[in-house]
Amino acid sequence: MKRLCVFLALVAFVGVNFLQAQTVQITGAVTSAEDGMPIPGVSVMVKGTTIGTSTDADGKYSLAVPQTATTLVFSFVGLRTLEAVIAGRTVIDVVLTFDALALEEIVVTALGIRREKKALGYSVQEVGGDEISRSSNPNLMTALSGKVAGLEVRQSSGMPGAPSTIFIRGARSFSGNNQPLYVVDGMPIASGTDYDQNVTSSYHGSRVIDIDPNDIESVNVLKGQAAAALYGLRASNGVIIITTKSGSQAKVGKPMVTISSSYSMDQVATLPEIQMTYAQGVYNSNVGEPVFNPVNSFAFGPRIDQLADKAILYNSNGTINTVYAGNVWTDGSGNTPYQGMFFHPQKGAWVVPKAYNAAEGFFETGGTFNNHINVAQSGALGNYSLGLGSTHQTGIVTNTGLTRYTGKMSGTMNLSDMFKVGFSGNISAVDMDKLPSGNDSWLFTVYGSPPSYDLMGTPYHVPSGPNNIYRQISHRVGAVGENPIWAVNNNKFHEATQRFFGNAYVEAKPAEWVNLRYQIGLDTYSTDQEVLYQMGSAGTGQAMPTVTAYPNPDNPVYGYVVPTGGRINNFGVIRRNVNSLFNATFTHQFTDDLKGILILGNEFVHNNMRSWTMTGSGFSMPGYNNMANTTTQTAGESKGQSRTVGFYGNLALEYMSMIFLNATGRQDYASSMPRGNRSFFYPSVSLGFVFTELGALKGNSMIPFGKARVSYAEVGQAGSYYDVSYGPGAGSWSGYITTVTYPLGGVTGYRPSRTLYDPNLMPQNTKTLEFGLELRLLDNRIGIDYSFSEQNAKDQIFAVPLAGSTGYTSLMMNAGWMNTVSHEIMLYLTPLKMGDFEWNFNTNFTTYTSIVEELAEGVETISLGGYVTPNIRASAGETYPAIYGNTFLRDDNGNVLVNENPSSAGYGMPLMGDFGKIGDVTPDFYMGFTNIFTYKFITLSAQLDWKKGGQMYSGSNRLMDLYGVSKRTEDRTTPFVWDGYKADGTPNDIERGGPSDIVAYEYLYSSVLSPLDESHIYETSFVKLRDVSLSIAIPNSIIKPVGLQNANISFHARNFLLWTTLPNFDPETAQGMGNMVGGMDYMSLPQTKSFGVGLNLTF
Amino acid sequence: MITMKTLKIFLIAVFTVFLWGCNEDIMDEINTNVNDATSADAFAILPDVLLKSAYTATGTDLAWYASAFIEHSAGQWAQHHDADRRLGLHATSHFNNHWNGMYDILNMLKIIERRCASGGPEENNKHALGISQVLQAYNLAVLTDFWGDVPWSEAVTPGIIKPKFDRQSVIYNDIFALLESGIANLQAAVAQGTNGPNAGSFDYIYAGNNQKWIKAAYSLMARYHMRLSQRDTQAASKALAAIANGFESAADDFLFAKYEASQSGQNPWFSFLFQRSHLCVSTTLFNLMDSRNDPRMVIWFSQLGDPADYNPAPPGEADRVQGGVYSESLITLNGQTLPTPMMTFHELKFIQAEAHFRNSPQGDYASALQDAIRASFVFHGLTIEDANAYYTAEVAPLLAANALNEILIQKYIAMYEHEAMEAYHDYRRTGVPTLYNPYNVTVGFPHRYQYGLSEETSNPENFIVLDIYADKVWWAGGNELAP
Repeated sequence: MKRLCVFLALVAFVGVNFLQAQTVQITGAVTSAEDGMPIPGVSVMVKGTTIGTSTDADGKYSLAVPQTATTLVFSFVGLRTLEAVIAGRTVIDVVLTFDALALEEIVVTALGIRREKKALGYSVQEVGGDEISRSSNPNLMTALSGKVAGLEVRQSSGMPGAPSTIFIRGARSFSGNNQPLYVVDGMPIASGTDYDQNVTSSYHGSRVIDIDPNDIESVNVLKGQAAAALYGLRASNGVIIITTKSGSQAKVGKPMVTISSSYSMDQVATLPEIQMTYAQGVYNSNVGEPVFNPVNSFAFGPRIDQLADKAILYNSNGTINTVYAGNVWTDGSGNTPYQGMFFHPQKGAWVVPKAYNAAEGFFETGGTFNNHINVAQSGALGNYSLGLGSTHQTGIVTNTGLTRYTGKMSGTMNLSDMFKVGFSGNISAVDMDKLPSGNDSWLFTVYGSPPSYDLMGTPYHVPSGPNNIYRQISHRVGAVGENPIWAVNNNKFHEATQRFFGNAYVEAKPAEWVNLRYQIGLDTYSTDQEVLYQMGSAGTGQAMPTVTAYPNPDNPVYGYVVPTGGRINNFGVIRRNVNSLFNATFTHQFTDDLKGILILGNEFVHNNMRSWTMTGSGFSMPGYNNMANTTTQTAGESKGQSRTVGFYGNLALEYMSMIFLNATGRQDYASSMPRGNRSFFYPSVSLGFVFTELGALKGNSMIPFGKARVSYAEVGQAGSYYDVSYGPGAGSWSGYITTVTYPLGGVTGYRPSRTLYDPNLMPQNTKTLEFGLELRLLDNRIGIDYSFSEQNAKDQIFAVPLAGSTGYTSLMMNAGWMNTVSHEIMLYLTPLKMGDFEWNFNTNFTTYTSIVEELAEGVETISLGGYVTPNIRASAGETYPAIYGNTFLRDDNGNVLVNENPSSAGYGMPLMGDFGKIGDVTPDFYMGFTNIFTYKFITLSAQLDWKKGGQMYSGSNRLMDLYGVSKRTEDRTTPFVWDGYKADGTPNDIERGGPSDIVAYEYLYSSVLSPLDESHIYETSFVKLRDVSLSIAIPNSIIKPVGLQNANISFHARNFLLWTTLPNFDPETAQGMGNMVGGMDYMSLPQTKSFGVGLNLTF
Repeated sequence: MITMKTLKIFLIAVFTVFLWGCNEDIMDEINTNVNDATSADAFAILPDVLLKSAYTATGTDLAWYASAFIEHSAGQWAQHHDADRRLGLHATSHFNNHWNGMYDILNMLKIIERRCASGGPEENNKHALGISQVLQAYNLAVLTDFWGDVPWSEAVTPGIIKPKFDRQSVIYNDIFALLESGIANLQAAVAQGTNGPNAGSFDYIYAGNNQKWIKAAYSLMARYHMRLSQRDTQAASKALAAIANGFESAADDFLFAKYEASQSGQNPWFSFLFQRSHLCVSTTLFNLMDSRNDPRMVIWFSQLGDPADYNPAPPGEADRVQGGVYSESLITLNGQTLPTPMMTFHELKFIQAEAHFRNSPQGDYASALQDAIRASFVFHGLTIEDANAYYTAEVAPLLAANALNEILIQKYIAMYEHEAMEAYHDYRRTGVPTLYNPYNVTVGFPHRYQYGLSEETSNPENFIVLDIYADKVWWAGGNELAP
């Protein structure tokens, strides 16, 4: 785009140079603030005169100026006009900044079609590559957060490479895809995660991670369906169009080499507050007080400062089992040599009682090291750009991290006046070492570590002896008793992906009015995953030691436990997507005022997929972590392919640069639908009306530009249709234990698929109406862009749940509809512009509501993911998605009822009602504020994100309450009256707690509230300082002598200030992926805050 | 310079090529599911229903909760600690997975039955047909015994997505009819002289032995007749008639014995107790055995402390601990590959003892009881001599004092712990033994299991709202709730 502008300006501008008496010769250079490069063709005018010139190829100018002149005006298409006061100077160098309000901006639209932004009848927003890489965030998805109105990024966890979910203008599909299509250099690429993530295992990388943000020239977000309609079946969720650096902006002549490096220090952003008073253990009714228990998962024991007296393990009948208390324990001679201490069985030593915060020690400081080198060149023959990048990220937990190597080359070559060829190719190798979450998270035993247990200071395995590293030491027993330090040092969740995606094209211009373009692209990758549970890991067969296996004061040696268990799971996927695209473009000028463009085209997409999994259980020999060392192995594979063929046309009419009409139509054929129902047509039409072109408004500097736009589109989304099939019937399960898998006894049992498919399945259809208004006010210092859209997604394809008594779980059919209304506002302000100082302030505002208007007949709610309870649902008449779970029991007035049975342990505490809706995930709105201050060579930018409203089920807070570890549980003595009502409608007055009712708080947190899902719903509003960066351009006088064109150093910080309504955790930490994300958190790795420095050198 | 005409020809050519690429036959081929079989014969499906009958229906959650309700076990941790306190049991989500799982089994059995019925693709496979009917009866009984009135006549039927609920009395008629046709088809298979192609390797239970399947069918028939003792005055004599053709020894036991010593192949009770430690030994069972000096205690219950001793937990009042405090089941902890019993010879003998007692004229219930105790002892690794000594010293005097009570107490003990479902059903039918969980008074005893959430949400027109603490099932004296 910029190159085109340079060209236009050079051609169009005729420099006029009046030589007059009494003139002063002023010289200088004009450079770009964006990259420090000289800008040729900039108009330099004496203000209030016609005297002026333009800069040469090196951005230099020389102008004779009347002595009376006071100000020079520098202007250039696409850049902000700058006025410089002469004030006696003869050398005036200026830096021009990019003008976000540029009217002639050209944007990339669907299928790579470039259009003037003002000609569009729908909303498109561009984010520059510099904005994305500004704070050195290696993850493109999270880097987009807050930068685009209407685009919402829901993050998952702070794990390096953790995937995010992006929603543009809310959701349209109940349980299908709501993610936008990603297109890189004109070709759609795979961008999803290959494995679902619900409540177990680890997050899997989203394939957007394969893109190094440093390679990005710009990102265009096609928000509405009209903008995306030419993509047909894939257009329903908007499109993120990524244009990589191509060298077209490079200076003609010698190659331009850019080296950028950055380093960030990453630390855990939020840690929960914990109680530091009470020790491990629970109330014992026979003893009549809370008693110590060194392997109990609860911290409802005695006070830590009393352990020297109270560290006694009781049998449940109240008899003493073991004495660990130093004030009480006597040696063989009747002495008490360990006064003031207690015996720590896992340490096998006498220690002074003390409170520990395990999480503070568990998380480490991680780091991200980004390096990128780019070589770009352009010339008469064409242009190219080569980028090589590497990212090394170490996580905040031992042995987690991300390594990414990328290589990218793209370019174009002008073969003749008629032919042009081009290509774009990307290779990447991405490795991730991950931490599991949800049920498999190891953070249970970090956050849940009782304050009396010194997690970091206690050995995590039996100290010496053969194979003792496989004999864990933990503060708790059972399958979820894995010591987290042992786990991160022995277990492994690794994924490795290698990928190529790219395309080549040939363009022919046989006549002035015709352009033909054929492009073929390939996107292929393989991902290899390894999950290793080392021998001795809890939950894979190892019995976690009970208290008798640990030393006690009378026998301070570790008992012997034979290491067993272990599991290895290797799995992976290979994908190959071929994309062929043919476009023929015809342009015709009907009259001076009426111009038309017609595009006809065809797209052919064929996807192949193969995945496999191998699981070996039970290692025979410790430490030999190979499939060959397992006692049982199972394997599985899956293959599939799909094809979509589309034919499309696009007619654009332009009248007097004022009225722009655009109509598209696309006919798609999809293999994944049932025979006879494979072909579908999708139309769209849009109208843009630049009312400031009307005579009365034209040329008004108060309103230099105004446009109203309206569009309508219908786009689809195909489902998957299958006939009834039979597969191995693994999963004879109970919710509590590992399933039995085949072959068993040398035989495999087969079973029918549990989902039925409607043979009349059709694609679901989204109909969208969009209005928009764009205004530029006060000499372009204020810009407003408002969009409203209403989307109706009907005939949803989803698995309609069936009653268990049918023998099947669901019927895949068309039913129901969802209505989504969205408003978004972009506001660009330049509040201050004085001399070299400029302040730009951009705001994005997003609000949307998706309502599930109707599900299938008789179906009120469907689950999108989560547990049996709670879970995330689409529910008729509710906003999407909603959180469901066990509710408080309420009376007809909605008052929470309390238990009035005096013989019940839960007397006076809230009662549990039915399973029902307990929360809404959808926030009231999102806002992103970006401030950019520029003063000479310094640029300071800061982005603040504000989310208002929205709710989440916080499983992490629940567990910390359940375990008696959270700060909230620290008060165990003050009598309380639960804020509720009695059945007769009077307020609750039943007092619990206090000296005569010691067990009350423990029972409240761990028995009453723990399963009461509604009590763990929290609002997730937040204000976050997303990033701050300070960039300093090093003066030419320093860098020129060493051969540098440009150098700048930047300091950045991300996520380091957070205010939120969610206690203890970051509201941008979630469990699950896809449509359920954001509604539930269950021991995901917390987000990180980063501080770093970056260096950019251009030769 | 090209003309409009050449351009047109060129475009048409390009579009034709791509249009050919999306014709229906090619698209069908692309969309073929190559990962799963498009059909499966009866013997391919059979192993999965056998495994699930043992696992989903018999060996997992349904039985674990029954074990706590009947106070074989006490809940010491997590959901079973809650269950002892009657928390959450009324929620339809509670047994949803198993509700769905039971119908999954029945659906697969119906598929086998339709394949092997006359006119089906395997109409001569009388062996698989017979097994599918016996297993239908077994699983249908599990379903109705826990849940009472349930969808059946319209359930697992293609084309019906909202099956109506049937009355338990009607379902019981079907159970007997299924057993009778199962027996007839298995006898036809005997007459054919074949067990079907390679039947043995697909039959986890009896390795293709039709005669043993017939005995299992008769034994189940005896169980289900006795279940109706409150509703059918002929229950005892019908049970005795069936017993005559039932198991002849423990070698005929209806067991799933194919578990493997690996995490993905082991007995589910073992997985559950080993991994989760939710249950421990209850004082109710322990005291009954302790007062009888029952020698099975040593091999059934773990001892703790120094000196080691039993420490059973009071049901409903156990402290919340995850192991290490209360006695736990050695049967299970030593039972990684222990079979799941769906019906045992000793259970049949207990039924015979009860039937003899109830029948008019009474039969020799004492010797049947002694046989039952002997079989139970041997089943658990003790000797007949141990059993004889125990019978003479402990059981005989109590039998003399209150025969029916002692027969039922002995059965209650012998059903520990993998046959806990039967103890739960017997208690609801007979009120033996006395239970001690205080929440039975303050909240209530769960007289049945709550229906599944999927039924509540997707079949609301037919769904029956019930009170699990008040509404007994029909054979336990309750009213039938289905219309």
